[in-house]
Amino acid sequence: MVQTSGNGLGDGIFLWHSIVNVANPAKGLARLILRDDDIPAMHPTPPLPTDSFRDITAEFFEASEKLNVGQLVKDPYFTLLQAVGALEARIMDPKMDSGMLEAEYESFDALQPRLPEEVVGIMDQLLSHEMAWHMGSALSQTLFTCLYIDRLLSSSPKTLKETTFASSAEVEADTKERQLLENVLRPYCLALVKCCYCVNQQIMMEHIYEEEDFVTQTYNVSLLDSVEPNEVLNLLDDALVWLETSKDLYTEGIFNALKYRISHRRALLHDLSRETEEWHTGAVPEWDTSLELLGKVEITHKLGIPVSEAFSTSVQRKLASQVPPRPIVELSFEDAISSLKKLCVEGKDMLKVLKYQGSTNLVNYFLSFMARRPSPSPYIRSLLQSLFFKDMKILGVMSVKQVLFDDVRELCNPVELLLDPRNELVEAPHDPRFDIVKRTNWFVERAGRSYLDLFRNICQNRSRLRRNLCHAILDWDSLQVESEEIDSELRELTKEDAQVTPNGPSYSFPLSSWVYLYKLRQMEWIILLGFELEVYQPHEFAGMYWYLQHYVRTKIGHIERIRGFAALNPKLSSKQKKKKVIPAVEQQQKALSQLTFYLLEASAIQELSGAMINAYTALARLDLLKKPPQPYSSDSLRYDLRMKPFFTIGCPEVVPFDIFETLVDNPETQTLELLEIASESITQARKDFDQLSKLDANTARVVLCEDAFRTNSREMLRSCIGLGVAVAVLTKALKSPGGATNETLDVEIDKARYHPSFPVPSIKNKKQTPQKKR
Amino acid sequence: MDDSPTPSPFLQSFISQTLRITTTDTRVFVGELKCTDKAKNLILSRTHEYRYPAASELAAVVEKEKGTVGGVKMALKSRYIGLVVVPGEYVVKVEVEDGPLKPAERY
Repeated sequence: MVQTSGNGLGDGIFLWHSIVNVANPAKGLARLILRDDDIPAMHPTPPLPTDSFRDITAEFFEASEKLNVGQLVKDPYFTLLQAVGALEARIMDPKMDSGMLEAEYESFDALQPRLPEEVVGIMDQLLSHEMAWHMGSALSQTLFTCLYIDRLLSSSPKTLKETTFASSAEVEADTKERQLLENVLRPYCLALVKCCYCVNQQIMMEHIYEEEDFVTQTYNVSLLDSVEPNEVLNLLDDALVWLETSKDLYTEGIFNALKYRISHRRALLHDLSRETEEWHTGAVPEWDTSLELLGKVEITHKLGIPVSEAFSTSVQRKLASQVPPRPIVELSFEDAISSLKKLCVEGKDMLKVLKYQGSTNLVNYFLSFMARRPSPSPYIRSLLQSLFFKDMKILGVMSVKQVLFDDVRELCNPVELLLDPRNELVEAPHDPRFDIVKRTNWFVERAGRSYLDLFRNICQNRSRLRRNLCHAILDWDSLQVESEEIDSELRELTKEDAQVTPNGPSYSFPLSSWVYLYKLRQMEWIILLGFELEVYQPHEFAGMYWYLQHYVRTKIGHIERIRGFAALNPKLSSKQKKKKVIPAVEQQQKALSQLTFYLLEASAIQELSGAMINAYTALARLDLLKKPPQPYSSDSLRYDLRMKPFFTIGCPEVVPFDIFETLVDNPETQTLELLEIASESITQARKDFDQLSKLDANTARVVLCEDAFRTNSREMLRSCIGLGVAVAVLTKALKSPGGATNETLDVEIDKARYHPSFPVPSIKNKKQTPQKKR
Repeated sequence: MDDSPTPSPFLQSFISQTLRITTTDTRVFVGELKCTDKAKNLILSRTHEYRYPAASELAAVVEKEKGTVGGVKMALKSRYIGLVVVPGEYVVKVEVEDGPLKPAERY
């Protein structure tokens, strides 16, 4: 898959710049970036070539004159599309030529005395800029517009000593005002730049989508790349010492405000500059300290006086970039604080994954972490990927095989022989265990990649996750077919006995069963995300819930099949089982309890989506859903579009449109009857969700994310209750003399108060009495 | 890509050559010519922008280097700006690079 992004129509075509991550060459996520903005790193500006140029002005102008209007002399490989790209940068046009900006930064005096209140104000402005960058704005519109930062970085310093506020012509002066700037503001600025360096490095290490999520571009400006974080931390310590000795100069409020800001920056840089390996080996985080100090920064914000002249877009005049001048991005201080607080909370929370509690708990943590609203920031999402998988190790200590086999065991509980680590010690080629290892190793190699991709996909932004899942299910579909073959071979090697069923002999197929369940889950997520991301319009809801129910039902059938086989291993008499706790029995109990949990969860969703189908079908029949005009489309074309990712999936298949329509519309059933069925399903769904929400964290495999699980269950329950009310109102209206029509009812889809994947129609009676006329 | 013959073989010979363009505001642009027309509008690709130092900066350097014999040296400020259009009305000077190798062969 190739991502091309943004406005790089220009000569990006010559300069395809791929940032395919070498450490994680996951084919599904390779990023190819087609953008001029990314070029400077590859093109250090050469000095102006002075010799070997020949003046051709006169001849050139003369030959141009001879052309007719509209005639072009051009490179045959240069297309109109590229020419349009070039129009983005029209030299001498003040709107497009950043070179036309006044060089305000040249006249800026970074050592002009500032009130301590102003220094606090500048620090807070900087914090807003930093977070605006974290949230996806370019450095050229945020931090780099700060003229203090510009002064420190514009000489491309290699050491901290070279970073100075003074310009070359300045006379030395040692006033208290100047010391405040040099001993407090300067360390703060440098630490902030170093924080940005660390964040940028982390983000570039993992799969995050440029432009969509984050702008890594630094316009050839070095973010103190060659300075060690420790040096900067020391500088902050010196700043704190200086503050203590100068305490008398300031009011207590201002003194504290300055101290909190420096201390907070110190704690933040401390954690941001950590290598992933340090987290893996148990580094103690300071996120809590950051958070606490951030609260104090917030309280003292009102003491600061912002200095607007310290920020200017004029720096864009010298940044290596093709984009036209762009305005400063303003993020309010409140928003900046809350997003940084969130970053600290999540930075701390994700360290939980390092305490491995089984693969299912891990998957569930990822799912719930990424479902947070608002979504975790690109930095956090990138860090979570690194924590999870780095240098071919999961969580820094485990092989892919270990976790993958855990996952298969936790779900399918296959015969012990299949995944027994002792098999690997067998060297005799005629031993069946030798052949088993050969095949399971193939599976690790093949499924491992898909499994890792799954985690990585979950760490993408929600829209991207859905898109990637649409591709991933094809991969899992072929993986399923391949695994079925391997399963058949393994069945011979493990000498599995067939189970006799009414449909003939049946075998466990543990590996492909595992694959199939993950495939079904991902198909289900695609539909759920379709609702969450508002891809579907209300008049499509009934149909899409039908598919959700269809996939969940298929899943239920499959889980029951897995459960049947999981119960068979180990083959012990009940007497043997009772005698002592055998690990194999424990393993079996775990798998069975997990499958039971999955069944309960699936049944709840099945009932709720059933109720949704009937309720939305009833609304459609009564013409209460606003269906937008679709002059160039039809229901059948849209259906093709919606189901496109699923068409090539072998099992379950997509239903032909005409059959689908009848299945959803259910024309044999009266509308009132539909509502009655919906109401029954809601009652059942509520029972199921109630039961789910009462489960302990161990049973639900949410040891790492219990709160999120509870919240999710609550939201599901709320959707059930909301839908129950809607169905009741609609039933009552339908039975009333006025009927249920657009004249008597107001129908709106309420997305805010319910589970994001289960929006509920809010149905209100219109006032029957004539409105007061004004 | 079209195969129609060029309206000006002379101008065509500069296509894909490295040009050095001076504009009315004294900036210099060095890039490969991709397209031009009657109004001398130039599309340059892989362009770098060069700028002479401001008078104030120059003065500062002169001050600092006071006492050294001979003139002061200052590098031109430059940056990469990629694909740009230079409108003909601002073009003061056009120069072509006479390198031993054609630009196309350098990459």
